[in-house]
Amino acid sequence: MEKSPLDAVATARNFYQSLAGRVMTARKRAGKPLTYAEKVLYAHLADPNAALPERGKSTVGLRPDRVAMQDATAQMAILQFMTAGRPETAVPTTVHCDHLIRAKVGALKDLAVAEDTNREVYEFLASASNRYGMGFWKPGSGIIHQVILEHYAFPGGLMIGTDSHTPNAGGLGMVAIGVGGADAVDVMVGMPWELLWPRLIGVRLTGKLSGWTSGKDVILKLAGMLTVAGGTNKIVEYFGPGTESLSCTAKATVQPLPTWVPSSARPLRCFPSIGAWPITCVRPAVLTGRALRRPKPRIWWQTPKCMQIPKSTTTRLWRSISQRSSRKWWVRIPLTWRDRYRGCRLM
Amino acid sequence: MKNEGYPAPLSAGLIGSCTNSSYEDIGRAAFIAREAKKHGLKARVPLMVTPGSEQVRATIERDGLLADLEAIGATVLANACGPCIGQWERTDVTFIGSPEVVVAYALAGRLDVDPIADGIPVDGKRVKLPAPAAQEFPAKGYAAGESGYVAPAGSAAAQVVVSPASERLALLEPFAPIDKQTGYRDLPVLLRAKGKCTTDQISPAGPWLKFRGHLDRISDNMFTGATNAFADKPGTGYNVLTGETGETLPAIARAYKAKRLGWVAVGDTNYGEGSSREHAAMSPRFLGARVVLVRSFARIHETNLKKQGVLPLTFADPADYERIGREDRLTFVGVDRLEPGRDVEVRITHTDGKIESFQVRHSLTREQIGWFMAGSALNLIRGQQKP
Repeated sequence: MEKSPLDAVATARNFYQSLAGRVMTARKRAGKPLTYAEKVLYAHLADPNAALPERGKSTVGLRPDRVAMQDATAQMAILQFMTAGRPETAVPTTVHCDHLIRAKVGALKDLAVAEDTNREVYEFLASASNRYGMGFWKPGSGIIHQVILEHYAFPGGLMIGTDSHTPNAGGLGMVAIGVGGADAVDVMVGMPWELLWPRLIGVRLTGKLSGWTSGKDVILKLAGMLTVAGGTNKIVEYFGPGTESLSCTAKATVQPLPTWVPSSARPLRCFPSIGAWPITCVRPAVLTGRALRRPKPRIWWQTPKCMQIPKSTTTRLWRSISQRSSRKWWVRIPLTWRDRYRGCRLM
Repeated sequence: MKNEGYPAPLSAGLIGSCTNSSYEDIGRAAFIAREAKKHGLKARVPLMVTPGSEQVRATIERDGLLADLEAIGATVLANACGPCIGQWERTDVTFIGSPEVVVAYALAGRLDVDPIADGIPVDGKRVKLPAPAAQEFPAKGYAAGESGYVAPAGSAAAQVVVSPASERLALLEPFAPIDKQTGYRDLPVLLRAKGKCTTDQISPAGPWLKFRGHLDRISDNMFTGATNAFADKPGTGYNVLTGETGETLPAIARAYKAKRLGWVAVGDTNYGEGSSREHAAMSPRFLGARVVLVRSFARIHETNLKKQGVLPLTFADPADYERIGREDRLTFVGVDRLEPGRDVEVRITHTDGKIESFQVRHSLTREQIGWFMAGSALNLIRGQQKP
């Protein structure tokens, strides 16, 4: 059980101990070089000896490292978890109170109103977290994905979150996937988590982020491109020289946006083809991911060696993936594109 | 913009939410705000900032970035999702941009100017803003702020607090296993869903979301969005006990449940497409669904039904869907001896006493048959826990 967010570091280090061996085994069995996302997924197979999965066809069982839940979706997930009779969650789990605060006047007053109107929900989540060993983040402590990035994400990890923006943790090289409550329950009770083995989309970034161009523009550009090819059940993996100019924040921002806004349940017309379950990760060769803890100790994440892919081979690797299939599996985005930012309609 | 007929004046600018609320993001926005202040500019529309976390909020306050934004008229909201997930009182058209671009447009107050290329219009002149720059991490480290984290005790002695009077939350009772000999005989058909039947039609969201932690309450939405071949109005059906049509499907299901009568839901192709919403499997199980028999399933919903202990079956011959009438009773033969890959026989007893039978398929693995036998996946896990 994690008593403090700092214990998450131990969770990650523990995982790293067996990582190199698992990646090596997967590489041998696959008989071909693996992309970063494939390495992460193979390293988390529930049964490392099962038949090799086929992209877009096989359903596999995975063992995620963490579960994160926001206060709206956590309610039924925890109620279900409680019926399984476990003393605590099978993997480290956190609950974040960020969705039920209504913005009206300003921080202090809105928070007080939310604490009053949602008192029973907060009390339930807090007491259940306390009982079953889950980390509880009170209303006002922050938005789930930013808190994950600050305290829990680590390169090479696999996480599920009951929120569509979960891929944000890709900013630190984690494969983080947004799921429904039922999936969270599976992982919390210790069942393997089922996933349709995803297809891959490689994005080669060239040039350098500068001027007014930011991570947001990269993802808006990609969203526009993917409208044609589609993004559901796919992992988007960034590589190429351009990734070096992206900060951790920018890397978190370039994760695919969800197709819907939960409160309105209306599709974002801008990106009709990106899945409601965006799956993603960022190439860590470029990701000397860093998480600063307050005020000390400071923890600097480095991508484990076994997860790195030499720069010289990346383009070849993606080309070979492209050639093996009839579809084009990677696209190029120059960071210094000339089309001026025009804004993008959300709903 | 003109082609789509969007209005030119902006009504608000929002900075923050999960993807753009880090120290660096706010730093870039604050840079533009400082430049604007030098020219005496203020935001022309309400500009709202939601810091991503208390750590970010405390740090940008200490480093003066918050003051920079407030100086051009920004309001700071709670460290939460807020407007980004619709938690505010507005229904406007929304556009996405980076924080610095949003500040520039808030200064301009309109969509039909390009504040970056052409500058902000002030008194007939244009003020050009330089490109933003900011530090990735605070030089002085993060400020702690108020700690919002609560460490768990993880002790069996700790109480979970749920008020029995609550309308939003209720503890769940484990679903009781169904007798495999008697529980699958002569079941009525609650509905024969026609055409599309998504998880949002099985368990509509909207106003029901506030009951998402209260299974009994939220189950009153069950199938209320579904088109039923046995009734004219969506969400209603035929009650075999009273012979009446027009009652809502959850009301009929509750009437059957009160008589301890299980029921079957029949569906068309790609039944349960949409989201992974677990309520779409839990509410039917709660109100007495024993079997969901369809032409084909959306994979995730099919798995959710298996987890909750409802038997998902597909017609071996899709044409058999048409054979099922509103007063028919269905018997599923051999569910006590389910084997992976072996078909199940269904006998229909029609009102005239005629009996027909046909084959249906299931996709349960040996492990999933274990869930079914235990009444749900969680029941099976509970049975495996050490006392």
